[in-house]
Amino acid sequence: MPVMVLTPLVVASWPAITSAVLAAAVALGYTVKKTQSANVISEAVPDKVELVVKNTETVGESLMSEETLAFEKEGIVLSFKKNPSGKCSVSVCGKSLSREELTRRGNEFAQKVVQQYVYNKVVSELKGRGFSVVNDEIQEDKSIKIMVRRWH
Amino acid sequence: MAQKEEIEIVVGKDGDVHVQSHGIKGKKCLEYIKILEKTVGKVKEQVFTSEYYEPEPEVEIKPRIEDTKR
Repeated sequence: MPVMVLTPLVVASWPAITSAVLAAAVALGYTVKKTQSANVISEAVPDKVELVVKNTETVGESLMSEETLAFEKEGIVLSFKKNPSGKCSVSVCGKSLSREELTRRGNEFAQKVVQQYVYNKVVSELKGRGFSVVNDEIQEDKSIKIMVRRWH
Repeated sequence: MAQKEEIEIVVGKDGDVHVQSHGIKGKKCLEYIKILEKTVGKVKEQVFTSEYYEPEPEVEIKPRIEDTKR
């Protein structure tokens, strides 16, 4: 077997992406924002940063609608959106934070969503093929190392 | 005898996936490349290790001769 590096391509239904978004939010210490709709919050704040989540697209029955999940942490409000064409984006706003810092937070969240989605997908696929997870750890550089094994 | 197959996967913080297997010899590994490619995305880099060039383990079938004379 080679040593192989794969670039993720997230093409999934909105529910599958939602699950990764929620896991990413928990991992980064965000909580679900319950007051007001995320759109109202985002539009009302002039200094917000909006980032496209690369290589991510939703497919399936909810394709035509716009969906938003909103989170908050220490005065930062972060929204993960899917537009009607299926593309995903992250918008971040927060008082007294520079645009660079908001961009960093947004990118961090977007990357975590992709990482979480890929992790869920790989583990589920390999378990379905008879592998069991023998080790699973988050490393210092925030990568997730998984060791799977089967007897064949 | 059953063969142990192990795959080490590292999902980077940007979502890139690094894969290395242990105990999967020969061209059988190509099957895993296809599965992971289908699951994750596009292959960015690929380097074959010596295990790829090792022969796959063969299953030996020995005839069982039963003594019918009783």
